[in-house]
Amino acid sequence: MATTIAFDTTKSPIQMIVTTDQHVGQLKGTVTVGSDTTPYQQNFTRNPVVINDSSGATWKLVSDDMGFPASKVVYSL
Amino acid sequence: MVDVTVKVGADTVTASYGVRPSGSGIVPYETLPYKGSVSATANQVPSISQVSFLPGVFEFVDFADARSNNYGFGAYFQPQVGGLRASGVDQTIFQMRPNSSTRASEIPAQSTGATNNLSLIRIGGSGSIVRSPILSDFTLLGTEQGHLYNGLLLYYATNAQIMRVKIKHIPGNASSQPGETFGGNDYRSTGSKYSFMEFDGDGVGASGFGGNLGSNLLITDSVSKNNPYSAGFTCNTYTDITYRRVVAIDNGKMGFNFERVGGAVLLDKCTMLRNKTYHINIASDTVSARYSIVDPVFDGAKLNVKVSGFAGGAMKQDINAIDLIINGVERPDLLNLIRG
Repeated sequence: MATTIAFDTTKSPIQMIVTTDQHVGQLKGTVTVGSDTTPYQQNFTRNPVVINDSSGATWKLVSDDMGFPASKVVYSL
Repeated sequence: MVDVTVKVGADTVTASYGVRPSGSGIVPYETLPYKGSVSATANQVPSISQVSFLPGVFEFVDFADARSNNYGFGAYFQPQVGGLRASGVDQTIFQMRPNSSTRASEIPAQSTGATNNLSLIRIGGSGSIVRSPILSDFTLLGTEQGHLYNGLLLYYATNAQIMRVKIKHIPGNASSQPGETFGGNDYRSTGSKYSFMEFDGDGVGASGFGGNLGSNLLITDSVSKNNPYSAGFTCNTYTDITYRRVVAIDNGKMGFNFERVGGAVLLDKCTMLRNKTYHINIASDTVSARYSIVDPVFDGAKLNVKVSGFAGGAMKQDINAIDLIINGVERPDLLNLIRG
């Protein structure tokens, strides 16, 4: 499974759902996304996804599902 | 369209989003030959097509469409136009050029009780023609014209969908016609669905939303506010209404008004704050409806519901058919029925 993006334009504001099998997270100052397979732990920081919107809009975290191996993260404009 | 790049670990994914839809049955406005006005240009589409709009300001001049005495529109989208699909609230703005109206002398005096039949936009059907338009993602903005007028008129529609539309600064000055203008007016329509709407009277509005002579109305996730002269939401001669997660706040009369409303009325998780008279007003001399008010948010110790007749006629609303339910429990102790 790769990372996918879906947009829900029926929501207001629009929502973006990112689904990934990458390790969504960041350990204390050390980027561990990618090959890291460390299970979820207390110091695991959420909202690590890097988003670049060509319009300059900012996406905000709505909710996440940190289940392994896949995670779903929902953002809204 | 806007491109978004998301990086997660080793993955970099790019996708695009845009609120303006495209595809079969949707004609971009900018591809149509300009015919002198927004409506004349849009009305060229083959029936039935939606028209999509880029970001920008789209102006009309005067209430010149379908003009007759005390009647007319800034933009009359004829029944072949199946919808207006734009690029976002505050991104695509429809408005009348300020001070371009020539109709001030035709506005009825308040003492006549006649209707103000001027609206910025009309869309839908036409009498025997019923349409199901889809409207989304734009702002309809009132501008100074030297007189009162209405905003959006949805006319003879069935199962219309109106979503993510802001209607702002539509001027009124009374709680009865002609001074009671509407930001949005749902007229002789059935099954209309409104969602994520903002009816912002902006300190000049009468009623943010008005429904007349229709049935099966659904409004969700919407707000009507800052209408100093009348209600947040009002319906007259209507059957079966659902408001879900709807907010009426800072309006000059009641939050929700029901006149000659029958069938079933549900207010589910609705908020009524800082409205000047009652949270809810029910006035009927013709029919009675079953009202279910579920988990409301309101100011004061009790939910104030005024119940009366209408237009001089005796009250026909059954006061035992008004239920306040909070957390699954009927709470008549929190319901303040005010007999008029």
